Amino acid sequence: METWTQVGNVNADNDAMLVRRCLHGDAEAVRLLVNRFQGDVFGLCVRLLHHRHDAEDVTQEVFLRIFRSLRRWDSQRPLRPWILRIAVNRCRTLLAKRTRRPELVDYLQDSVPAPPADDSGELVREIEAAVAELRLEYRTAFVLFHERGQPYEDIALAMDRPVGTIKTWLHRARLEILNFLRRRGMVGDGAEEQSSARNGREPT
Amino acid sequence: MNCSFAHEWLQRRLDGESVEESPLWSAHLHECPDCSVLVEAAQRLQQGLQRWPDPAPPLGLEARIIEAVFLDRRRRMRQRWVMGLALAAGIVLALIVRFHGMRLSPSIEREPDESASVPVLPKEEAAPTLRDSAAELGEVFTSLTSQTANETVEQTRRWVSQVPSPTLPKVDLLSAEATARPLREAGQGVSEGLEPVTNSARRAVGLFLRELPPMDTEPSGL
Ligand SMILES: [Zn+2]
Repeated sequence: METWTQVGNVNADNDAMLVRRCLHGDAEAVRLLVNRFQGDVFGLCVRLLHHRHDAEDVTQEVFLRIFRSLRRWDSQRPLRPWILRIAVNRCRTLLAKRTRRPELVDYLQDSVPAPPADDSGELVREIEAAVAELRLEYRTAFVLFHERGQPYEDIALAMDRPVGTIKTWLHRARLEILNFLRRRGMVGDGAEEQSSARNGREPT
Repeated sequence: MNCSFAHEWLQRRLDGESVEESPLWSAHLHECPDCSVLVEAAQRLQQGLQRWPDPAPPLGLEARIIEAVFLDRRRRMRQRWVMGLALAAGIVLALIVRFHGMRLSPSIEREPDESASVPVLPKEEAAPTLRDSAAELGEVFTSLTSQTANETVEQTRRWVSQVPSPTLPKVDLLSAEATARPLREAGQGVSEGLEPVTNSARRAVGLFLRELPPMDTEPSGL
């Protein structure tokens, strides 16, 4: 707490400073770090695991690992991708275990938050179903970009792949989702209008 | 414009870039049903993503995480202390065993010392280090090997003298002497070879002591 007041800036946006305080045993800094990153970690875990309860367990496990290895974080690099990388790896490990014994739980039951009750609910449900069908790398890239708002460079760090690979994965993920929406009749009317308009012009 | 250009344009739009709808682009959409459907699907995706509910962490998760982090920290600190104590006890025990071994050894070693021509090692007062023991071992090995080599050379010399000289080619006794040299060097090698072991043990203890958290830090802290 003393360090806190000495720093002066309560926001302490500087990740390196926050980490240093955590390493010095500052309980407030620990709370702040958990508070700052739990939304991203939990949100990613829910989307990758499709199971809120598992996502809670993995989020807790991720933070234990974060604090155990905080000393190894390179302060020259951004903290968020480093944290997300631990989360991605934990989810991957859990999913690998699940595929080895898939009969145990029905994981799509206790799933993601309820979509909006209005007419956009169906669209959101279809997008969620499309995202759930993506292979893990595509899904991770898609969720990190479109839901967690991470730039390509940070996704590359979190997934330990070059930026070019991340771009390819994200582009393929989008195309698969777009084709899914099309197959599910989510783009019907507009497409028909377009094609009839086009047919009308064809003779010229 | 072809389809792959159109796809690239669409991806850039989904990346959040503000890309202009050029006349070429509009023309392609009018003549390509695949791309026009894709563009519409992309618009639907963007609509849906705006309403995609963020899976907010449940109330109480933050507190549970923090509690688990501090528990984990305390448990690991305890483990370190137990491991440290065990290591220290092991070192003390090893020293005691070694020290007692030195006390007992003279009475056992004296008799063979007198019959054999092995040089008598000087008796040490203080508990010797592992490196000293390695050096001793090396010396004994060297003297034994050189003794064996000498005996072998002597035996060969005797055989050679018994065999009638015209049937046998001349044996180079100097080269036989020379074989003893690598053996002597090997003896020294044993002592040098054990040096990394003693060094790494020292490093391990140093590393462990450095890992221990300072005693004066806040107990509730991380
Ligand atoms: Zn096209």
